[in-house]
Amino acid sequence: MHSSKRSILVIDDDSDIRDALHDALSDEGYETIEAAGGREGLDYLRSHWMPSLILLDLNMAPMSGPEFLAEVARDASLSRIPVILLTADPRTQEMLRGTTCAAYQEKPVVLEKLLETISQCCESHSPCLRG
Amino acid sequence: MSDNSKVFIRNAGLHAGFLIAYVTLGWLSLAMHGPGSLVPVIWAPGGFVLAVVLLGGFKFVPTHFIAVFALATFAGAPPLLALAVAGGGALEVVVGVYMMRSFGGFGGAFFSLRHVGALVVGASWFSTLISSTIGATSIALAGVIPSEQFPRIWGMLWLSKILGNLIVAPVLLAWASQVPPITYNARRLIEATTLTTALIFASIAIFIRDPNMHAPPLRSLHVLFPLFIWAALRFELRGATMASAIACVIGIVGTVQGTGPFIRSTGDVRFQSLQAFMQCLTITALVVGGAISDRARAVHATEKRAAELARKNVELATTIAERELAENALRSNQAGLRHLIRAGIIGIVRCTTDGKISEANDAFLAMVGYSRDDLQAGLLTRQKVRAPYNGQSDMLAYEQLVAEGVAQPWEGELVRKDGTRVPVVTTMAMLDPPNCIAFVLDLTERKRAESSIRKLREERKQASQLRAFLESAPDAMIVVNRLGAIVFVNAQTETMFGYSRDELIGNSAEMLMPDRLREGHAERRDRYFEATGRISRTEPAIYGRRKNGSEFPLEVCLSPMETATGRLLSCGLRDITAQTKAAENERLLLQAQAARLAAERSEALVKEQLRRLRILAEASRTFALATEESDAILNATARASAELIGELCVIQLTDPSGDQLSIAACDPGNCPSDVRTLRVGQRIPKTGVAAHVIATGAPTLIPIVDPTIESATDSALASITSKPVRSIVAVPLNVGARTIGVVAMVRVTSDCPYVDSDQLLLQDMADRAGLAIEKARLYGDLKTAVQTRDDFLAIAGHELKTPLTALQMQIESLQRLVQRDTTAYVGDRLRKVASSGRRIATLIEQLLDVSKLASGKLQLETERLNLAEVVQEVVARFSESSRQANCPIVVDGETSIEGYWDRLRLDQIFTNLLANAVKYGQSKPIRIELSVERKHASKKAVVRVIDQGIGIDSIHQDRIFQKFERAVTTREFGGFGLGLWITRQIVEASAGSIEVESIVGRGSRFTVRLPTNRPATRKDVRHALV
Repeated sequence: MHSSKRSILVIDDDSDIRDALHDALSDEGYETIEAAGGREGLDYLRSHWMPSLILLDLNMAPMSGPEFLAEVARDASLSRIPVILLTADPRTQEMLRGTTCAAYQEKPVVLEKLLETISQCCESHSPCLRG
Repeated sequence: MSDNSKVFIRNAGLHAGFLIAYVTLGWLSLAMHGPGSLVPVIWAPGGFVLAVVLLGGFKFVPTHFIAVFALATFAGAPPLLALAVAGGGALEVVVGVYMMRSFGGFGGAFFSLRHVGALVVGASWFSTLISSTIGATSIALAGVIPSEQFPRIWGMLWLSKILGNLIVAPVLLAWASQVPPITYNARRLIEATTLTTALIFASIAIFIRDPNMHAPPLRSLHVLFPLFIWAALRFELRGATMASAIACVIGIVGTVQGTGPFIRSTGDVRFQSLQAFMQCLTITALVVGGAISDRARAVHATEKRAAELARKNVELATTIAERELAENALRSNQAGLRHLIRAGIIGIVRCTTDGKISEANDAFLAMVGYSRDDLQAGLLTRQKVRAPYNGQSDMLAYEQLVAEGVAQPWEGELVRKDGTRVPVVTTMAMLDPPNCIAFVLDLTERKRAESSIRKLREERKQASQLRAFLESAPDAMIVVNRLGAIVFVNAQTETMFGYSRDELIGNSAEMLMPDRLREGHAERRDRYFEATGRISRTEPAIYGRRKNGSEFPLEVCLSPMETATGRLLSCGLRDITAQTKAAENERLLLQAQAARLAAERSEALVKEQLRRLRILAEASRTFALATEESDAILNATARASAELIGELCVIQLTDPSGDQLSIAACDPGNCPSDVRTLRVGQRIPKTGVAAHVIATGAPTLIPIVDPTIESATDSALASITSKPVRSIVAVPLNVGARTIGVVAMVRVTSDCPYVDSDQLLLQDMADRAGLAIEKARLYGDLKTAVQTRDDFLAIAGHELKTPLTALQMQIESLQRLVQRDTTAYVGDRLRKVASSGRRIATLIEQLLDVSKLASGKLQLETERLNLAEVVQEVVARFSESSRQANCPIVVDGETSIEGYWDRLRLDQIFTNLLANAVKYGQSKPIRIELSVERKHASKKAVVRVIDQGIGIDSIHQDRIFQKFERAVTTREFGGFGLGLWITRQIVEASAGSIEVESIVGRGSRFTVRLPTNRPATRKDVRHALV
């Protein structure tokens, strides 16, 4: 079932970041689902409706961003979901060259830009890169 | 050819030569006659034949006879007349020779006044009387001349012949004679030449003149006398005869030609005067010459005699000395004999004719060595004491004894009891047959005296042999007596000093030395006389003085010798002029060699010092470069110590707990095996050098190790070398106040013990090594501290960043909410909050960049991009803040600069520069100039950021690129002061450069140059830490 409200899965191990993203995205009219790690996010995806977008933090434990991405890539249904990677590491771009459905957002996150990217990704339903 | 024919040919030659000479002379003489007369002024052949027969014998008389006959026949004389003339001539010669030999005592040499007398009177005046009488008579009888002319012809003939004999014969005789010899040296020859020249000139001046001129006066003839006397005095008969010959020939030639003083007279008188004068002159010269010759001969004979007498004197003295010796010996011998008699040592024996000895006195018993007991026991018999080979004389003596009752003394030998022989003389007398008495005299003393005389004779012989030897020695030999008088010199001495033997013998030896060496010579001579062996002297330099006063260096060898005439000193002298020069050359050579050796030695010292310095410098460099506590320090210490001090260096270290000791290093040159295999930990032993040094911290020096004390070494040393250790020096290795080990040097091959200076040097090396270790440890600590700080920064930055991100997001979402429906007041406040948040975020980013740069984690992600675009982006980002700061930003120059860069870092560079420009720009316009520099193949993008702000003092211009540095105070302007440092790190990591030009109050210009090509290698930025 596809929700009219755009849902965004926020995967970040830092609750403050999750909260801030939740607050900001809620203000903009997005529904957010929070996951504290890659494993939890994957569990959610496998047991719920698929979100419109995934905001993924890179450095997490126990399952890190790249590990999560690798898992998602293996699942054809999941791999269609656009992923925006939140990272401060410039190497991320290099790292993501192999994956097909990822965008990344540099840290520190500028909210305005993030929201712009999110809206673009959601509209096109297709991966887009910003970097 | 036989000897006879040789003699015949020789004789024939002689006679032919004689004949030719005679005829030639005759022909020449015949040419010399006065006008109106055929008789020559001088009949030279007469003198010639006289000399020839005197020297060569009567065998020339027949030849002469033939020659005269031929000559007379040739001159036109009838044969009978020619025969008469020839006979007269022969008779003259025979009489003349006879006169010379019998009255003159002429024996083949013409040298004496007596010869002159015989020649003048006998062989000139008398003998020619015969021939001229016969000649004139024959001519008159032959009718060649009228009889009234007879006296004139006779007189002319006589005078002519006298002159011939008087002038020609003596010349030949004097020059053929060799006695006495006149030595002709250069001076003498010059004199002779001068005299001859003078004589010729004078004679010519007198006799040969222009016939038109007046004849010179007769007194001019006197000029000749001094010249003749000169000739006779200086050159004796040879001079006199030559002078008269020269003057006579010239005189006759002149007068015959009609010049000269005698032409004043006319007719025969002219020539008679000439002949008389010449006779006079010649006789005078001959008499003087003969007398001088006699005197010279007498002088020579006297000299010879004197020399002979001197030699005989010496011989006589020797004989006298010998006789004195013999007399002395005899006297002492007689004294000995008297002593013998007085001592009662004439043995007296009573015996029978069959040899039994019934009685003997003590002297006899002592003589034959028997005791009185032996005599009484009948052990002493004549047969026992009689030497076997005396048998014959003993027997004869016995026969005489029996026959005559007394035996003449005879010499023989007795056999002593111990078997030795004793010479005796024995005489016997018959008492009452068969008893007799014998007197026996011990001859031992006499034999001894005889042998001493024999010895003396031997010595005399040896002395004379020695004398002969000395004479033939190559060196000059002089023998002096105690008074310093020369008693003997050899021929070499004469040659060397230029004195004759007679001048030297009996004079003081000091005459042979220079005056300056004479002082003190007598004392020295006395010392030499007391010397026991040879003395060689060249130092101080000894010089001899020759008779002519010149000096020359001498080597002197003196040895005293005992001779029959007492102790004498023989001196061997050698002229060492040549050796002295050679020695001087050698000395100079040696000096040069010594100088060269010294130079080489000092050079070697310098080299050694340089080597040591090099070793120390190498070790110091290793120590200085060592940044970690590694084997390199210890190995360098061991190697340098071994090279500086020798031989084997072992470094042992305690482990950190301080109870184990390991071999840490030993010098690689001498270590028998790899250190790693030796690095065996063991508990620190209780004894041994290493234990002592570690326990006390004091150095230990054992110059010579006593091999019996085992505790001197320890197992660590034993594992390095199996040889016994001979010397040890060990010093502590201190790091700070702690002794962490011991540096030990051991000698195993050389016996040379270690000394204090070795210990000091080793301690210095150990201290340096300790300092190096300490430095390395401090360096390690520092590195750890920096690492910890960077790690902390990274973690802290990361940890701060996360909540800050959340905070910023919240602020931003709040701002979005506020923009929709809240008052502007809240919005303004929120903007300020957001700005602060961004500042904190920037600071945290900088800290994280620092930690990345420090840990080398910064990596450039290059891609092809347009630098101008990046600049424009940054400028656009600064539009807000520049407007707020009221400093407009203008970008000039290139609009497209393509190249390979890291976009993020490029952005960071310009952001930092622009942020500074805005911050310190004092609200004045900011300009950015973009350009491209091309140099060779490389291309560089150049970005200049120019502000007109407060500027930077030149003293701060270098510092601002350092970490945590700024040109302004923190109070005025915030920030970590990391921006420019990070910028520089990034620029340099991109192989670019950054520089600043600034004037305080006028503004700054930052210039960044970045190569456009992809960096070949990424620059390691780890060094940024240091």
